[in-house]
Amino acid sequence: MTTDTSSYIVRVEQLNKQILSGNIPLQILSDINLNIAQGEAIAIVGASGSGKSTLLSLMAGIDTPSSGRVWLNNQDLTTLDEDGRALLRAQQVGFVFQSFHLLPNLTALENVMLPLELASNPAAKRSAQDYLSRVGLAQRVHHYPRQLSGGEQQRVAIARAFAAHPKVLFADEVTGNLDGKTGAHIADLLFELNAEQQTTLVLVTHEESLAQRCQRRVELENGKITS
Amino acid sequence: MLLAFKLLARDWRSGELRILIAALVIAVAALTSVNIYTDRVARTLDVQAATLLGGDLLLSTPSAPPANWIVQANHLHLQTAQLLLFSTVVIAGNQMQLASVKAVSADYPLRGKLRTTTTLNAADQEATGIPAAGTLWVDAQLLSLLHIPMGSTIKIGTAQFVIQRILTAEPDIESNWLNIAPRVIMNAVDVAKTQVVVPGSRVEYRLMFDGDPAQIQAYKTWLTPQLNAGQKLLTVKDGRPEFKGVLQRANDYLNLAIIICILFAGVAIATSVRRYCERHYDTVALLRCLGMRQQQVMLIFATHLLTLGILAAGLGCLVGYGAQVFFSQIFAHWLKLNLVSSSLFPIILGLITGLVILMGFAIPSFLRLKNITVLRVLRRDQLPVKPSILLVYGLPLLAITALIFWQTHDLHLTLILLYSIVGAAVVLYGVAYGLIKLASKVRSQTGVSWRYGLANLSRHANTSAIQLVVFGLVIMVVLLTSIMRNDLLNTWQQQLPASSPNYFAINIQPSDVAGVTHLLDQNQTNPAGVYPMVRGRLVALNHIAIKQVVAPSARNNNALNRELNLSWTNQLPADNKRVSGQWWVATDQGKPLVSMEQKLANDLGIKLGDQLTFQIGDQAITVTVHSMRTVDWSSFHPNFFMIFPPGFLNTMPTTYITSFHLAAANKAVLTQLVQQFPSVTIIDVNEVLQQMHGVMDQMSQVIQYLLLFIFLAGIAVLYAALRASLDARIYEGVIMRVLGANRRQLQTALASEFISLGLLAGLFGSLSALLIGFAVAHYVFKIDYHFNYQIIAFGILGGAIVVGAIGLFATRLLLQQPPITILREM
Repeated sequence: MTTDTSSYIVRVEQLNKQILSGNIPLQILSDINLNIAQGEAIAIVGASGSGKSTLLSLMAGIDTPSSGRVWLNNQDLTTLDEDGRALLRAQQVGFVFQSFHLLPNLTALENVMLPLELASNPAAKRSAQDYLSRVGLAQRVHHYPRQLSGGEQQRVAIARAFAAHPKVLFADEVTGNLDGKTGAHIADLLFELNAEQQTTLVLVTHEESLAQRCQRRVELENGKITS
Repeated sequence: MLLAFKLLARDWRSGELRILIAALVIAVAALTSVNIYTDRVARTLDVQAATLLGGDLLLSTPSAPPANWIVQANHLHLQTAQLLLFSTVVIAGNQMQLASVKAVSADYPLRGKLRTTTTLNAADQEATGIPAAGTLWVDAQLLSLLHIPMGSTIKIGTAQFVIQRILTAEPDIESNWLNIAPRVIMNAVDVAKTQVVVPGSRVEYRLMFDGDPAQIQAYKTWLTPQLNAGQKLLTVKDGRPEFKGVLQRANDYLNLAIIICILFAGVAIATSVRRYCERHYDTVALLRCLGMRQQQVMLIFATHLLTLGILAAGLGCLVGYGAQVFFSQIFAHWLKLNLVSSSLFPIILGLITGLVILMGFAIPSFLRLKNITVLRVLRRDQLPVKPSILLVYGLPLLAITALIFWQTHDLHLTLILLYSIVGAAVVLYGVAYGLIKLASKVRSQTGVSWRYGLANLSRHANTSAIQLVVFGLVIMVVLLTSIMRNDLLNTWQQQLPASSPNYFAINIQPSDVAGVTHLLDQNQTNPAGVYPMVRGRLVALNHIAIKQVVAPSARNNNALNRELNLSWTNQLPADNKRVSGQWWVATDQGKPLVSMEQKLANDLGIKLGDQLTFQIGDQAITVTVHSMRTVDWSSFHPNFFMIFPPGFLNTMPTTYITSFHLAAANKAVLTQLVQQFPSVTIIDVNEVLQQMHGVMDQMSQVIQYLLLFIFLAGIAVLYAALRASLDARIYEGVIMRVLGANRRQLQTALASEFISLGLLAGLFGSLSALLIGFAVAHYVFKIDYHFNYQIIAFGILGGAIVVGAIGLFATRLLLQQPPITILREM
């Protein structure tokens, strides 16, 4: 049986990542093969140190593999240089991180505008304001990250991720730094916007409840996919 | 303690110490290399200066020095030469002329060379040795005065001598040219047969010494207490006052370079230690959380700081030494001056200075570690309480002031420079803070990259302002060194322009003044004014014999042992400056007043309002000190210790003096002058002028290369300071990269920030350099200052280019590596 590989937004083939810890080689990921379909929501789960975040960073093109290949929207990331990968990220990828990674020197509005401006979107400001309203921060657009609570900062990060209309959204432990109630609210917001925009969602989490909200679940153990 | 070293080793392995060590090494290396270079220049200057004196040290005594003085000099391995100077009449046939004889021993001169020629007006060459017994080397002037050719025989006392050579240059030429007759050099063994020197004769014995500076100092210390009133020890500063200004300014410039390097080192170290401490807030909180006492934590970090300081300062000294050797070898191709080798002192100095700066600048940051609360393990935004402003700024300032004073021994320069820089820094900070805030207002009108860059500046307005001050100061001191160099060179050139007087004409009779002036004017010799001159001895101060009143150390002063040239004028001479009291007004004409040269007044303890009595022939006159003046002795214009108002000395026997410039090709005018006015004596000072030109040329070259050294050190320090403050920028750059910023966008963002920083720093740096340059020129170098506004354009452009380039170079990894690699390293 043949599969039409072009229908996958993310394809991972024989992916390995090895790093040197001191002088000792450390295998982080071993022979990973994974296909993610357009519009799919997939949870990558596993214990700490199992290689979840590394896999995410390789699929998103912010890290380079030791061997193997990654295709993002049919573009082989391993053939691109850093600028090529940056262009792809600007056009097709969104991120939400555990520790928010907002730029402290920019206001909430400017943080959301940033990826739009990097992609030369002429309506960056309007779109950013719109998304900040969507995440309930219309009144806080001119606040700096330090003036916002953890939950509010993560909402800015979500607005920043969706405002650029990415094809794939990579989310790494998005509720990890938040209390249960705020975390649940953030998760609702994430899945709500994801459903609305038909974005492919790759979610790294160790929370079972969050994983269950995804269509598929991939479990990693010692750098290998076990299920 | 063991734990402290373990933690240090772990920090080392993690790469956490790299930036701190790099900054320390760069700072100490910059300081050491400039220190070594300036030490070599200063030592070379001493050697040059010693040449002007004929040796490192000169003893002058009216009676033969005790034999044990020479024995002691030999014991200290000092080379010695013995000279006997006296005035006597030399006779050729029926012609007689007073001559100034210098009888020299075989080792004379210890430094420098005599130059002679065998034919009048022919090119001269360095002489080897001294005149053979029975022969003389004489000034050309003596031949013309006696109307005899080379090779003639002349008589001194009862002995006959053959004139073998014409003397063209003596390294230890007398500084009081106006008081010497034509020079005759003879071999010391011939003195006895002349029978001119007998007990009671007015002679001057001289001993020249040459050797290791420490031994010279030891000898000086040994000999000084044994000197009696008529004996004096001279170094070049007392022996050759016309060179004092040049040497002093060159020395001031070297001190300026050292101060600048100390400031550089402070800047680099302060920035990197601050970063080091900030990155250890979490570690300290954790150690405290794990049960470590505050005292233990402080001990650990004190051990770290001291160990790092010693290691890095040691390494910095080695790197600095290597850099200095490397650059000196490159410069050696261009530099005409052979620099003598350095002493160990600047290396030790570098080590100690590095450690003191580290302590002075590190302790305020370091003390913040003490105030870290355990709560930080839960809430990372818990910052430690800031130590008092006094500690943060007072301690580094104190450390720097002490270091600078220790190295330069020049409180004047230290205070002027340091406190004008501190003042500039405070003003700079205020303006920078305001401008940065202003820039944030316009950022919404700019593109994304510029918005990001400007946002970075304004978000950390306080840090950015401090950074601006730091960069501004570095740019300022580099520009200041350059401005001072230009002004110093210009001053030297103006001081001795090509048309400087190279001849003095003395003994001009009042009836000949008009004729001499006319002849000189006719031949465009640019005469420096004709001054009346009366010779008189200073005999009393406030009606008490002068030698009884002045301090014992002043009794040897030459001015008390000879007749002084007293003059009068209505106009203060152009190269004199009144420093206190009043210059004459019309009603002072004919009054018993005097304007005195300030240094002589200080040496003799004479103040404004004191009464001075002069013996002029058989008349004694008493006058009141009405003003004090400084005199530029190196101007080659007639100058006087004592100037009177017109109408007071008119009745005294008067001759006139002038100085003028005569090109070599125009020498016939001299013959015409002497033939037309036989009483006039011409004194040729070309030789001294040449010596001065030589010293100034060499100094000019040396400071050019010193400036290059400082420029390189400045770049190294800017890099270290910038590198230590890059963490936040790199982090923010990585996030932009993750969000899809391409290389060009990121480069533009970084460049916009660094260029803005460089532009502002360049503007502030150049403006403050202009202002502080004025203070330094006016109060330290005491030279004329010209506001060169081009320096502002140069500062702005240079600041933007250098800071922009250094910033982009320091952040290059951001553009080359995958974002995750950099994030992991942070």
